[in-house]
Amino acid sequence: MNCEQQMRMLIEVQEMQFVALELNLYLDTHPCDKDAINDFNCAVEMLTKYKQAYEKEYGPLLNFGIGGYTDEAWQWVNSPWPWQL
Amino acid sequence: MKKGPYKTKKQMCMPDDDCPDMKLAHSYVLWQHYDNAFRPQEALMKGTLFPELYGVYTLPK
Repeated sequence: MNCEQQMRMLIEVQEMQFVALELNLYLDTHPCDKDAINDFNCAVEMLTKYKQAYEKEYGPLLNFGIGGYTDEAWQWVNSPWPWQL
Repeated sequence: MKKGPYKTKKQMCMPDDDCPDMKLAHSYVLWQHYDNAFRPQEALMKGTLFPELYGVYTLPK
Protein backbone atom coordinates (compact mmCIF):
# COMPACT_ATOMS: atom_id res chain seq x y z
CA MET A 1 0.00 0.00 0.00
CA ASN A 2 1.29 3.41 -0.99
CA CYS A 3 0.98 5.35 2.26
CA GLU A 4 2.78 8.40 0.88
CA GLN A 5 0.21 8.79 -1.87
CA GLN A 6 -2.62 8.16 0.60
CA MET A 7 -1.24 10.81 2.95
CA ARG A 8 -0.89 13.32 0.12
CA MET A 9 -4.50 12.81 -0.93
CA LEU A 10 -5.68 13.05 2.68
CA ILE A 11 -3.83 16.35 3.14
CA GLU A 12 -5.51 17.68 -0.01
CA VAL A 13 -8.86 16.87 1.59
CA GLN A 14 -7.83 18.53 4.87
CA GLU A 15 -6.59 21.66 3.13
CA MET A 16 -9.76 22.14 1.11
CA GLN A 17 -11.93 21.32 4.12
CA PHE A 18 -10.12 24.06 6.04
CA VAL A 19 -10.77 26.55 3.22
CA ALA A 20 -14.48 25.62 3.29
CA LEU A 21 -14.52 25.94 7.09
CA GLU A 22 -12.90 29.38 7.03
CA LEU A 23 -15.25 30.68 4.34
CA ASN A 24 -18.17 29.16 6.26
CA LEU A 25 -17.23 31.15 9.36
CA TYR A 26 -16.69 34.31 7.32
CA LEU A 27 -20.10 33.93 5.65
CA ASP A 28 -21.77 33.55 9.05
CA THR A 29 -21.05 37.25 9.58
CA HIS A 30 -20.97 38.34 5.90
CA PRO A 31 -23.88 36.39 4.36
CA CYS A 32 -24.21 38.70 1.33
CA ASP A 33 -20.57 38.66 0.19
CA LYS A 34 -20.94 37.23 -3.32
CA ASP A 35 -17.20 36.66 -3.83
CA ALA A 36 -17.03 34.62 -0.64
CA ILE A 37 -20.14 32.63 -1.60
CA ASN A 38 -18.60 31.89 -4.98
CA ASP A 39 -15.30 30.82 -3.43
CA PHE A 40 -17.13 28.73 -0.82
CA ASN A 41 -19.04 26.89 -3.55
CA CYS A 42 -15.79 26.30 -5.46
CA ALA A 43 -14.18 24.94 -2.28
CA VAL A 44 -17.13 22.60 -1.68
CA GLU A 45 -16.90 21.36 -5.26
CA MET A 46 -13.17 20.74 -4.97
CA LEU A 47 -13.61 19.11 -1.57
CA THR A 48 -16.22 16.74 -2.95
CA LYS A 49 -13.86 15.76 -5.79
CA TYR A 50 -10.93 15.24 -3.41
CA LYS A 51 -13.04 13.14 -1.05
CA GLN A 52 -14.42 11.01 -3.86
CA ALA A 53 -10.92 10.48 -5.29
CA TYR A 54 -9.59 9.49 -1.86
CA GLU A 55 -12.48 7.16 -1.03
CA LYS A 56 -12.34 5.50 -4.44
CA GLU A 57 -8.70 4.66 -3.81
CA TYR A 58 -8.52 4.06 -0.05
CA GLY A 59 -12.03 3.50 1.28
CA PRO A 60 -14.33 5.64 3.40
CA LEU A 61 -13.11 8.70 5.29
CA LEU A 62 -16.00 8.54 7.77
CA ASN A 63 -18.19 5.84 9.24
CA PHE A 64 -21.58 5.79 11.06
CA GLY A 65 -23.31 6.35 7.71
CA ILE A 66 -21.74 9.77 7.20
CA GLY A 67 -19.30 8.48 4.62
CA GLY A 68 -21.90 7.08 2.25
CA TYR A 69 -22.54 3.61 0.90
CA THR A 70 -20.20 0.67 1.20
CA ASP A 71 -19.34 -2.09 -1.25
CA GLU A 72 -20.33 -5.68 -0.67
CA ALA A 73 -17.43 -6.11 1.74
CA TRP A 74 -17.40 -3.80 4.76
CA GLN A 75 -14.76 -1.27 3.71
CA TRP A 76 -14.28 0.68 6.91
CA VAL A 77 -11.91 -1.94 8.36
CA ASN A 78 -9.94 -2.63 5.19
CA SER A 79 -7.37 0.15 5.16
CA PRO A 80 -5.60 2.26 7.78
CA TRP A 81 -7.99 4.82 9.19
CA PRO A 82 -7.21 8.41 8.28
CA TRP A 83 -5.73 9.16 11.72
CA GLN A 84 -3.41 6.14 11.51
CA LEU A 85 -1.45 7.45 8.54
CA MET B 1 -15.62 44.52 70.87
CA LYS B 2 -18.34 44.77 68.26
CA LYS B 3 -18.09 42.32 65.39
CA GLY B 4 -19.50 42.55 61.90
CA PRO B 5 -21.37 43.12 59.76
CA TYR B 6 -19.08 41.05 57.59
CA LYS B 7 -18.97 41.29 53.81
CA THR B 8 -19.53 38.18 51.82
CA LYS B 9 -16.81 37.05 49.42
CA LYS B 10 -18.95 38.23 46.50
CA GLN B 11 -19.30 41.70 48.02
CA MET B 12 -15.55 41.96 48.53
CA CYS B 13 -14.79 40.92 44.96
CA MET B 14 -17.56 42.92 43.29
CA PRO B 15 -17.91 46.31 45.00
CA ASP B 16 -20.95 47.29 42.96
CA ASP B 17 -21.80 50.32 45.06
CA ASP B 18 -18.27 51.75 45.45
CA CYS B 19 -18.22 53.44 42.04
CA PRO B 20 -21.81 54.15 41.11
CA ASP B 21 -20.91 56.35 38.10
CA MET B 22 -18.81 53.78 36.29
CA LYS B 23 -20.06 52.70 32.87
CA LEU B 24 -20.05 49.23 31.41
CA ALA B 25 -17.24 48.49 28.96
CA HIS B 26 -17.91 48.37 25.23
CA SER B 27 -16.09 45.93 23.00
CA TYR B 28 -15.72 46.05 19.25
CA VAL B 29 -14.01 44.20 16.43
CA LEU B 30 -12.89 45.61 13.11
CA TRP B 31 -15.13 44.68 10.18
CA GLN B 32 -13.41 42.06 8.08
CA HIS B 33 -13.09 42.48 4.31
CA TYR B 34 -12.51 39.50 2.07
CA ASP B 35 -10.00 40.73 -0.51
CA ASN B 36 -7.18 38.19 -0.39
CA ALA B 37 -6.75 34.60 0.68
CA PHE B 38 -3.87 32.26 1.31
CA ARG B 39 -3.51 29.21 -0.90
CA PRO B 40 -5.14 26.13 0.74
CA GLN B 41 -1.80 24.59 1.72
CA GLU B 42 -0.57 27.83 3.26
CA ALA B 43 -3.89 28.49 5.00
CA LEU B 44 -3.89 25.13 6.79
CA MET B 45 -0.31 25.65 7.96
CA LYS B 46 -0.97 29.19 9.19
CA GLY B 47 -4.31 28.43 10.79
CA THR B 48 -6.28 31.01 8.83
CA LEU B 49 -7.39 31.60 5.26
CA PHE B 50 -7.26 35.35 5.69
CA PRO B 51 -3.91 37.19 5.49
CA GLU B 52 -5.22 40.12 7.54
CA LEU B 53 -5.84 37.77 10.47
CA TYR B 54 -2.40 36.21 10.38
CA GLY B 55 0.44 37.51 12.55
CA VAL B 56 -1.71 40.12 14.28
CA TYR B 57 -0.23 39.15 17.63
CA THR B 58 3.41 38.26 18.09
CA LEU B 59 3.96 34.84 19.59
CA PRO B 60 5.81 34.79 22.92
CA LYS B 61 9.32 33.33 22.60
